[in-house]
Amino acid sequence: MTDDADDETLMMRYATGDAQAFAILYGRHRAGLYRFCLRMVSDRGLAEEIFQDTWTNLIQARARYRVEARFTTFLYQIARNRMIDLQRKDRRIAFSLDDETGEAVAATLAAPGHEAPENLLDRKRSAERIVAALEALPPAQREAFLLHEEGELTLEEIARLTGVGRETVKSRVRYALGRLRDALREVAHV
Amino acid sequence: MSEPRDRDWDDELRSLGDVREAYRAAIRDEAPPEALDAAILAASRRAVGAGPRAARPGGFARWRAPLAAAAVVVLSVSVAWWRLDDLLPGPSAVMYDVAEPEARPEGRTPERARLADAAPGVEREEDERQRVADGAREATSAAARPAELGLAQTEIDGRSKRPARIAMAENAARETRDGAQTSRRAEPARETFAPPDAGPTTHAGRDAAERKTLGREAPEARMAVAPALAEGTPIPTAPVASEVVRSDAGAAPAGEALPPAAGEALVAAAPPAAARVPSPSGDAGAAAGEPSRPRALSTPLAVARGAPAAEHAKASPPSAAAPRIGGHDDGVAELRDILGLWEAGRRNEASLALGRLRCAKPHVPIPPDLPVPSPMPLRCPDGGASAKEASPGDR
Repeated sequence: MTDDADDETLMMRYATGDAQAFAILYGRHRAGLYRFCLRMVSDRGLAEEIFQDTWTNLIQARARYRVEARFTTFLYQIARNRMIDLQRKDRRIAFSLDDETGEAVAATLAAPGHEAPENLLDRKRSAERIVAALEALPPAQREAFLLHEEGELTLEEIARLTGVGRETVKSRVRYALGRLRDALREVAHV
Repeated sequence: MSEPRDRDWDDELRSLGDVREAYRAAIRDEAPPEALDAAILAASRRAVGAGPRAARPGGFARWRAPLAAAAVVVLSVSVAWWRLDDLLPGPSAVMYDVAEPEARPEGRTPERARLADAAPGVEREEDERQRVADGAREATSAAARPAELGLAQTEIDGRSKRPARIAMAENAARETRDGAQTSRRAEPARETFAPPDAGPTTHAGRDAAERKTLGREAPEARMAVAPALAEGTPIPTAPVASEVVRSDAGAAPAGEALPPAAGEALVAAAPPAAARVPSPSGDAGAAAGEPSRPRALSTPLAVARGAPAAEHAKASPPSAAAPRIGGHDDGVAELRDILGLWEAGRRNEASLALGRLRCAKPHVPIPPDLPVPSPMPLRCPDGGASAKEASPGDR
């Protein structure tokens, strides 16, 4: 088994009983999916639950897997569906992936760095600032950004996954990057 | 999955490269806990059966080997038991062991025990007769193998060079008959139910003993007679060695020619000096020296049981209406089979066989001391006519 096999091939091999193929797949995507879950729900325990459920669902759905899209799309689709299920069960979960109005609300919010830029002095503080800026993004923008950065999905794949147009996805990603750039500038100015 | 080239978007992302680098640097240390990794990988292995737990055999697989071993043991014991049951020397032995576990003297059957209790003297007499008869049978068997023993053959004229052993056997048989005649008249129903080990267990042995008492000619004599018969030469009969009890000369004419096949079958091991009785009527067959047909000398049950004919020879007086046994339609073989079935414990089959015999051969007298009961009521295919002719011994 070589590590340079694409994700789809590995998933097909795992569907036929090759446990090592799954291990390679897991090693490739465990960190990105975990960060995606963690940034989306902003709760480590809940993020780990979603993360584990995502992989478990993938294991159970291995026989139904067909190479119709990239494996990453399939994986993040599972995670996203799991998040929606949790939100429907518990309305207290503070993210809404379908709330288009959240973008406008987020645009009006002040960046977290505006409140205490003097505290962001070192690299750790810069990272925390970036993460904070990311978490302050509207869920749709945050999701588009995370899918683009963590899942390395293209605009078209994100559009198919989220059910919106490609240009909408481009706009969300552009907006998220702009907010992060502002956050970095504020750290640099401090 | 291919995406159209979007140069503007690529340029925009390139311009925001520093932001992406800063983000990756900020979150690169975030990873799921190792315990979560182990749990997910273990789940993936279990799902495809590659984990150690999946390789463990299930419930049936775990018990398959012990079950197979137990089945083999059970089958082996069953087959061995079945084969052992078939290989036993006789079913009577098993029956005795099961029915009467206490030690029983050799040759002591339940019937004999009952007789001994009723008349101790009779029991001793029976034992004595049995011992003498056994000696006579042994001598008869020895005489039947003259070539093996290197004995001289009997001469045609009856002057024989009989070995001392055969002569002794003849004397023993004669004494047995003498003693049996007296005891038989006194106790006609005293019949020995000999166990398998008390006497000859095969029909051949019984026949030998019977022929010994019936006084047939010795095989060597027959060997000498046969060519003479072929030539039509009258062959002088051997001297009368002893009295031969003839039950009913009228019913079966003496001197009746013995069928060749029957002669072959019946005359096999008679003592050399056993004499044939000349026919009182002096018919042509006897005059021609043809072997006379032996008369019935014992009761059907005695013959059927293979008891030494010597003890039955004089049991019935010559003038008494004793059943005539010796022909091929006298029911002796059937009675033997019936008795064999009875002794083997197949009592229902024995009873049914007795009923069939009574229907098929109503002229065959059923010995009164036959332990086999007839089926009641007796239904014969011919309307039960046979039942009317049944002997008084029927029950």
